[in-house]
Amino acid sequence: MATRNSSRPRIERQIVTQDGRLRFELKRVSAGIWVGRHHLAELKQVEYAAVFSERAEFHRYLDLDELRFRYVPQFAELKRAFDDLLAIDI
Amino acid sequence: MIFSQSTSRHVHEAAGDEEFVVDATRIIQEIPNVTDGAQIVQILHRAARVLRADHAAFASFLRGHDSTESFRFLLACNPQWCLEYQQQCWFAHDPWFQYAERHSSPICASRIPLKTPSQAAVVELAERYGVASGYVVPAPSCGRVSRLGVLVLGSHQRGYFEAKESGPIKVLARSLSMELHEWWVRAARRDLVEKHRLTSEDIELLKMERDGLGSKQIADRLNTSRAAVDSRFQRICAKFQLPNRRATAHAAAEHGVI
Repeated sequence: MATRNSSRPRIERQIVTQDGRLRFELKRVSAGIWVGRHHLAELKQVEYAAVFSERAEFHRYLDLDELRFRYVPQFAELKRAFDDLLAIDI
Repeated sequence: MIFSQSTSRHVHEAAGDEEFVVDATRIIQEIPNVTDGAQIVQILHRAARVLRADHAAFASFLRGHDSTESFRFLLACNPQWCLEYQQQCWFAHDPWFQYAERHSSPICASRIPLKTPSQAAVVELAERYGVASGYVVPAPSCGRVSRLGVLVLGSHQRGYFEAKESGPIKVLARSLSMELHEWWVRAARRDLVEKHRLTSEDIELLKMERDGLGSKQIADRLNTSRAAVDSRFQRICAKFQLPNRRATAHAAAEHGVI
């Protein structure tokens, strides 16, 4: 009898800064990694979502984000999370 | 990076192709059934491909009671474009957004006059990211809300959308824009209801407030006391962390709850 595999890798991650103002959501999809970016500034909230299929492109995109200087650990964690998710076969 | 792949067929040739219309319609019809953010982005990619666009982005805007502005973007294009756009704070200078605030008809981007250097810079940024020809498709809202959506289709090829704004493309793009906008409204409504744990009774009260009914009229309708109505509103306002019932009803309307 087939048994259910209970050790499937997580295909979603969420990374939030300590002040709660910046949140990234990542999800492994067939085309790559869906990334949602949510930023709450003083009087403005900006969210956008896109799908990245390549590691280099996502890392390049992160390296353009000015907030990477304010939230250094979270951006490092983001790169790792992206790489980990991209390595998952679906 | 995923980009929609353009074909060699010109848009006005494709517009006469029944299969193209059927394919686009089929994709657009999937939108109401989508609840997942990842799926909706992938649908936008597929729709842009079928509409022969190299890039697509859907932007949604709403203004809070305290002038807080909320922008949401679905991207089937280079996300670096959106990042740079945000970091330059181009929201206030975006001529395509400003067009969508005042008009409901789709238009080629080149037909929107640029009145300031900042507006020209927004368009130059888009061109730098491959939008040599753009098609701007508003998704207006009715009622006393600031909520607005706009779809932008882009092509690497200059004059692509200008050559002929053919009937099927205009209709399909408009339909796609409206369905995406409705998707955002449903998502915003779901988020707000969940965040503030709104009940159906809360929503009913907010509707009546929005309709201009006072406490006595509401109490009469609900067969309760004015004090009970006021108390219920206090609890709802506390959920929203807003100062009064008018602002609360406005926030609920902006998010599509009422």
